[in-house]
Amino acid sequence: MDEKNLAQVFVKIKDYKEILDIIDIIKKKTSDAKATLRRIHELKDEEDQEIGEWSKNLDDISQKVEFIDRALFEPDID
Amino acid sequence: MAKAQKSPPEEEAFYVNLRKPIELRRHILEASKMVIFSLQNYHNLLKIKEEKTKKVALLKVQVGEINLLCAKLVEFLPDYHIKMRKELEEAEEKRKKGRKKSRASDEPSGVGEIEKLESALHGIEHKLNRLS
Repeated sequence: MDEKNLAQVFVKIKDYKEILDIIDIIKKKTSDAKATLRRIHELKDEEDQEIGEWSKNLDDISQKVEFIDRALFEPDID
Repeated sequence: MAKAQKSPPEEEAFYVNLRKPIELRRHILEASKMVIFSLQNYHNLLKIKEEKTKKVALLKVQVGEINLLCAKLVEFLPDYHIKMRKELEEAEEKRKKGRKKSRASDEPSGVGEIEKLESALHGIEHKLNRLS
């Protein structure tokens, strides 16, 4: 629909002020929501990092156990 | 270190000579350290997950508030398109009927909310189509 062909819309000045207030609140709430989402992203990264460290620790443990196993079951027979 | 178990005095005791005993001991201690680190990882992960769950719930509340404010904003604009209003009323009636049906059927929690959101989205898309 062409904008020019539509009837003009007027809003009461009292309502207009209220609309501006609501827009201000929406802006603030959106900013808060963005900050929360940023924190969620950070937590997700921390979670991934922790899982990565966990995996590395388990790899290290299996290497150590492998060494212990070899040392115990392949004793020096000299 | 790898001394055989204490046996009765009459039996002969055998011993196994282990290579690199210091290194072996070091590896056992390091493995124990890694196991403790792994347990710490578990507790850290629990803390992170707990905080993440809280933040996701908070985000849901914040988005809900924004949604309410947007609905309030729409209310301020006058209904100048009568035909459109009629269509909205019809859509609302359909939605109410749909809600009654969904209440009748046993659905798991959350499904009703998703349907409600889909219905709201459909309504907004319809309004947008009417504008263009």
